Amino acid sequence: MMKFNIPILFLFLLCNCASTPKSYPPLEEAKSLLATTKNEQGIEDVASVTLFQADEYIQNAELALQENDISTVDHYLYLATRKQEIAKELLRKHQYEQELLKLKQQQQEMIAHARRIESKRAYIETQTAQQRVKQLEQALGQYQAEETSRGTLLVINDLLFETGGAKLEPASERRLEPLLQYLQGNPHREIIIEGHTDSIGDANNNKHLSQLRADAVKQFLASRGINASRIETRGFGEEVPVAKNTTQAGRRLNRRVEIVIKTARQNDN
Amino acid sequence: MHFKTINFACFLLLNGILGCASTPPSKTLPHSEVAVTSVDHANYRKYVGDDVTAVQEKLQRAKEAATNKDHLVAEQLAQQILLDVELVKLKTQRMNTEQEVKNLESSITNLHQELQWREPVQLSPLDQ
Repeated sequence: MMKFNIPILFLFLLCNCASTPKSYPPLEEAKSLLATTKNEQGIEDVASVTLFQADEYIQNAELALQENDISTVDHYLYLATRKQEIAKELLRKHQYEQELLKLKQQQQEMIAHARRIESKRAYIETQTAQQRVKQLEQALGQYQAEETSRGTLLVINDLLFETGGAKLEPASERRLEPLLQYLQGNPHREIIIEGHTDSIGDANNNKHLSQLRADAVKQFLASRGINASRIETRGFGEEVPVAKNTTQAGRRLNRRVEIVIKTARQNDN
Repeated sequence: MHFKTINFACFLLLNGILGCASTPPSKTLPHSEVAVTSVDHANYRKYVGDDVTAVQEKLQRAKEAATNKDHLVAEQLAQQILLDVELVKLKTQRMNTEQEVKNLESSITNLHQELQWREPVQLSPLDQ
């Protein structure tokens, strides 16, 4: 009787062990977590192998649970959870890489757009500059003009001041009208007024007089609405002659007022 | 019968003892050491410094287990370390890419603002 009973009992216990599903909350949690991860959109495309490995670890954990080897169950659950986290990281990394590609493309498009705008702006600026030059030529055509590195240099020889003084005569005010109109029409332009004399008389007095005369021109322009901050004045006296002072004609050329119309870049500085 | 039952029990016990004693030394541990060394770097510490420290501590525990001939624990910890390190590397890569995305977004926003701030220019279809 006993000879039959022990193996049967053993088999019965084995079958009983194998058929009764054991419950282990950490296992259920890991399975649930893995199921949730598998539901994430696009994860199968980037982490299918990793998810498969996580499944295998879960299965190993289930087998170990059947043998009541909780330490091994915990080990496999740890590995399964890690694989599940790795799968999620793979997905996130992939998503950021896609985002990066999209942004790089967007940036390229914006840079190309910015270049087109800059090109158009440069074209417009060139045209505007050409128009300005035309206006300048029209307005200032009455003066002797020369393009220099400092800007457009206008030389006005026939400005008349009261003898030995710095008061502009009415005829000279009319002579300055084109310059005045130009400055009114180009409110961002700045100028330098430079006074020069011939070498007759004391050099210091000449220098002082040339400064006063340059200031007088500035005062006239300011009195007609030109902001004084746009105008600099300098008096050079007899220091910068353009002709010999030995002849009357030479001295007449040396007695002059020069106007430098600054370039836009100089204005910015 | 009693004799046979005792024999069977002894067989099970012996089998269990032999089973424990026959667990070989961890083959994964050397790989884990290499893996941990590979993440002991400023690039990884910048983003996941705590994870790097944790994995280093786990490696220490695995080595101690191996020294104490607890080969099963050493092997299990070594296996875990390999996945821990894989995760550390992926997290760092993801965070690097995330940072790149943020930088690029900021750059695009600045570019956009600059384009808006500057005097608008109408582009004709020929300019496109």
